[in-house]
Amino acid sequence: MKFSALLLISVVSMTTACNQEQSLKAVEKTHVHKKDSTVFTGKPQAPVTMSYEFLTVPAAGEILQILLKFKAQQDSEMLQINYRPSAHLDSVDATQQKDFTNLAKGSEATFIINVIPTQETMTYVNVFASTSVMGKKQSRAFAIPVSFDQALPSSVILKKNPQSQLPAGFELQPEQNIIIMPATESP
Amino acid sequence: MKHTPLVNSVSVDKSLLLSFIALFYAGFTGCSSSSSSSSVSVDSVETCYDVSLTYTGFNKTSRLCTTREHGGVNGLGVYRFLRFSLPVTANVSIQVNTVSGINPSDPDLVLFKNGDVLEAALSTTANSERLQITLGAGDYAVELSEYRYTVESSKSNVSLTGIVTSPADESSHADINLPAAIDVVSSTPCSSGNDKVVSGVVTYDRVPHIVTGLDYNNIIALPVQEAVVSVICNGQEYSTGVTDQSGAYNLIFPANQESFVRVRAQLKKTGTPAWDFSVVSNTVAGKPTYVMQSSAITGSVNITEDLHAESGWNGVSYIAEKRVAAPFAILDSVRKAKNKVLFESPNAQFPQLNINWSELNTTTSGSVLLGQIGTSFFDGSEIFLLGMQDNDTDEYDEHVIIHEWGHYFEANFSRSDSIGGAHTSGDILDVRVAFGEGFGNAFSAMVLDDAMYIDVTGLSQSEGFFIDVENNNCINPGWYSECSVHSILYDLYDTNDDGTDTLALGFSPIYAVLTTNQKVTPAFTSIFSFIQSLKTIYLPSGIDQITGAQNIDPVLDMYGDSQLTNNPGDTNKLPLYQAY
Repeated sequence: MKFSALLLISVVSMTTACNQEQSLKAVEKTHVHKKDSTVFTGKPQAPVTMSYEFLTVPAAGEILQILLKFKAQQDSEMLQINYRPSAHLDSVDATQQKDFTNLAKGSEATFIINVIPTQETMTYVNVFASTSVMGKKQSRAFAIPVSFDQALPSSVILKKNPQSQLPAGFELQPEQNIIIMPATESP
Repeated sequence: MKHTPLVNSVSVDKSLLLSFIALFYAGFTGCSSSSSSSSVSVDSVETCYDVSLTYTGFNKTSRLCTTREHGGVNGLGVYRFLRFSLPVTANVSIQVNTVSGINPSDPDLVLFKNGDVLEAALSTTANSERLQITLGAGDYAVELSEYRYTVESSKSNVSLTGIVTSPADESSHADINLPAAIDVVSSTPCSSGNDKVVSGVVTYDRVPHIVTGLDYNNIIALPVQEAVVSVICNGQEYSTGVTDQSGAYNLIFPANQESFVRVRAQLKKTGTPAWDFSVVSNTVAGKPTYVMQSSAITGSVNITEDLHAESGWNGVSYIAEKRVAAPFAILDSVRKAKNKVLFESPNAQFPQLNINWSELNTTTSGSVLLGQIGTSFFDGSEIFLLGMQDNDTDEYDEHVIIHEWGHYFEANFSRSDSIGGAHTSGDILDVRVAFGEGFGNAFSAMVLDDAMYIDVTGLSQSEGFFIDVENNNCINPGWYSECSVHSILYDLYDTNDDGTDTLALGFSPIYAVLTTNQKVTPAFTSIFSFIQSLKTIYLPSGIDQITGAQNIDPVLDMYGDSQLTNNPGDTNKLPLYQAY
């Protein structure tokens, strides 16, 4: 018997066994998938995704350790990561940049960063990923929300007091549904 | 290497069979211990189906396979297409049965006529689905997909605290659908016995680009054109108009009474043509419109009142309470896009559009009310734009704004069958996504007559990247590439001959195709339906050379049946449509 025929039999027998067992486990589909009428079409961005994990619990004055995990969407000669903490966050890392080279599509790169919240208020860590794919550079920004346990979620508070979301000097006029911003006037 | 379906595997070579064995041992050994949610990434599994089409006097079964080999939910091969033509009205049955791959699988069928979904009686079980419907004579397209390939959650088996996706998910939109807090205005109308004239010029700060950052050293004041401007007295509109091309306005105000000049971040015109575009805040309940307003005017003589919207840049960062220019910069980009369309269609009726912007809008997905929009995007009815400094701001990125406005144009003047999702220049995309995103890039370059698409990010808005829409050197060029699509469309449009581009058609034929044939094509919207239509209206000479430079065989039909050679990846994607 030829080699290819032997392999074929192996594959077919495995497939058959597999299918028999799986068919016993096959469950009745209970859902119907409708075509989604809402389609989000966003701007182009660098071929990299990011996920993150808090390795410590956020608390004011305590080091917050965050594991960043990047996944290359295309073969990339270079992936450069920078991060910048927003207000109410201090970085305690010696460097806020890390470079990775020659990442294959689908491969992952990790980077642990350390910041200290100075206040227990909602803020962000800004992360920037720059990729080079066949010499073409693209970038993508990510924001990691750092929030703390609160009695009410921020969105609920804001619904109750929308003005609190506006910069000083901007005035919400709900009856006309406008935000008044001050113009610079002349003469 | 192409994977031949298993039933035909007697003809495959050793390496292919070894690959299959490795796949089954490494991955599908999980079949003995778990369901389909094994640790095997769905990206590495191809799932194949027998798809049958039956009606009186007709019964045909073909094999189609879906794949996630190109990554995301909108990669080429996640959705496969079939098509058929009915000569007469018939009761049609379309049945799909899984034959290999994910088990249990969850195949989905969606039936389309000219881009519209047709509701059919549906019966579904594990590994199969059937549509039953009576159809009239005509051309139909069917989309086949594997549910597990089309949901983002199956992309990663890593449990993490957060995954930064884009854009914000639908559920996060629920909290922005709040009724506006409408109070009754109880003010007294002002007297009109002694009117005076207030006139002036309205301007805003435009921050130009320098390389891929913003150039705060060369901010220029530009006119706020076509914006709604009013005199407000006692909280009510006393007179109203729009600014002209130089930003000038001329209104009356009641002498000796306190009034204000208010400029809305709104372009509005009723009648024919008509439009209504407003820049609103998504981080305040009710989505109020941004306006800038003068201090009180109380004179008894005609006065001049020039208003200016500052960028708010203080040399280091934006001062939030002075960041007034952003909504007007956005409005100006929208105005340019609107006028591009208006030139082709002077009586156009533009559906109302909100452009949501906030200085809190940032690149994490969550509550839209908190500004967690993920990225700039169009959701089918509204545009959302990023605005958080030192992260990603888009108010001065005109190409980004017009790219998203281009999706609004597609939705309202043309047609897009795009399924959306994340994308980038080198991606091998679903053909519908590739066309929609490539069009967005090209349209922004056409409106601005500037091929350099720039998107600014980073600390002090000093970083970012550019896409040269005129550059024909695409990564993974082909009919599935947004880069190829924007390169082709812009080469058709522009007057600069480069490479194989000898055409300079301008926007008119592109607009004509998009608003006629592309709108009603029986095929899904793609580079094929576009080019085929363009060739029926205009002499095809020169078009094949431009498409050929992007590895696209001469386009002879709307379905891409003429594509014979450019078949990317490990699995077979051709023909693009299985014909019945």
